[in-house]
Amino acid sequence: MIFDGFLLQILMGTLVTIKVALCAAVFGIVVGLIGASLESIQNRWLRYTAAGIIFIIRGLPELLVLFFIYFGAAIILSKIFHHYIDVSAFAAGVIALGLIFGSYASQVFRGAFLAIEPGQTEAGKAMGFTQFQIFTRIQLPQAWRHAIPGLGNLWLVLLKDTAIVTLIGLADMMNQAKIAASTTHQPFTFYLIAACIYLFITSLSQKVINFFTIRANRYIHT
Amino acid sequence: MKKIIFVLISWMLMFSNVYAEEIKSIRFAMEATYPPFEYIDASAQIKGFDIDIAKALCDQIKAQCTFSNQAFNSLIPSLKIGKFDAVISALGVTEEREKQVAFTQSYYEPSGSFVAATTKHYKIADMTGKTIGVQQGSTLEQYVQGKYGKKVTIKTYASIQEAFLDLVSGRVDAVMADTPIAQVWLKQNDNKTTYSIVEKPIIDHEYFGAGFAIAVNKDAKDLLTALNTALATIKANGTYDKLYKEYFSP
Repeated sequence: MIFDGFLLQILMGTLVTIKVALCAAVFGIVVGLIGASLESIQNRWLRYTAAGIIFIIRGLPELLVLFFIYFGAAIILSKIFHHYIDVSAFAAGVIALGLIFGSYASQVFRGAFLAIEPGQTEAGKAMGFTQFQIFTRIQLPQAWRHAIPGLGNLWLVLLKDTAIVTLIGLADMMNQAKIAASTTHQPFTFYLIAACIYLFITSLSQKVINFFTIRANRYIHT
Repeated sequence: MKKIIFVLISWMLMFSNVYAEEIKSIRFAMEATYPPFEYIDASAQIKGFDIDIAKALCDQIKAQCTFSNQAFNSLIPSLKIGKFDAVISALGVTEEREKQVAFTQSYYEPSGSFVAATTKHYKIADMTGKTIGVQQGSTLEQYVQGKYGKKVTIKTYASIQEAFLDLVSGRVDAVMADTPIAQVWLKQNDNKTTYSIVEKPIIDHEYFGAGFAIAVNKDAKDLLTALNTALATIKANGTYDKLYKEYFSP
């Protein structure tokens, strides 16, 4: 009976964990693409700014980035508007994890774009493609293939990093497991359940990553 | 560009006012992993002594109260920037914390209790020559050392549960433990039939601190006054005693 109630709470927490991870990954991929393109354009100011931000975020502990956004943003916005403004824990968690994911992903994307032979884009130009068409039809599909293994790794790291949102009061799986453990005095049972759920999600992710890898490589016949 | 980012960020945030003129609602925060003071039960409700005290106070103030589970380390920072109105989380009043937030009168006094076999009829004043088990690094260890020093033999344990095991096996004559912890142990496995608290719990501000209190933002003077008045009322009208007995009676 007690077990059922807590199990339900942990499953609800699992949903929160997955939601945070998915939102952060989508946000992070966008950030990563923007970061990678800014880092490779000619304008020096934009390039240095992007590289600087990426350098800072990659160099700081995840927890610190999260606290800066959750507490720092609330203080700054409150100062600007002269009354208290709440930053929701969910938004702060998604933004922080997304920025972290994005700054690592930008490096993965940059490497992936560099891996495409210059001849490919030149051929596109010769065929009269516009810059946008070259990016979406030629660069992106090929870069995608190179980026998937790196992104897959980042996704697994992100999934486990979501546990830090516990510290800003979001009721994720880890938080619920901790609550159940402290109330019932059975830490081993509930942490083991949480561990099994994490493993289940990561192994499922691996299957999805494999699917995308095969799909992205399908035009290559060796 | 700046404007667009600004608008986007604004959308993501929820706006709310901190200071209402009348106290209509109080947002309490706590770390709910500390039974019996605060914990979350199987139905996902926050419960415990602190919560019942807070509810009684809210009844007095006629305010709507909400409770939110937060990480312990972020309780005081959250309070300072106004995410919550009050913290009630078995929070001991210390000088360090008083620099950052304001505290109400204490609503619970931590106390220590000697637990020993009932048949031995020990007295608090006469523990000389006995072997006493305490938890390593606890305030209770300092208390026993400070009060009895070399007159007793002190055995320290990493966990208080191990001290109780040695009490049962007879390696120590008495165990000094936090009163609520001692009471929980006494309730387990019929320990009550053979063991009991020696005389009564010991309260000592010098060693155990000035007690648990509710913390509020230093600027929230009205809230502090309201909470203190309500606390005095529930202590006078018996509500407090009823709750205290419910949670801490032996």
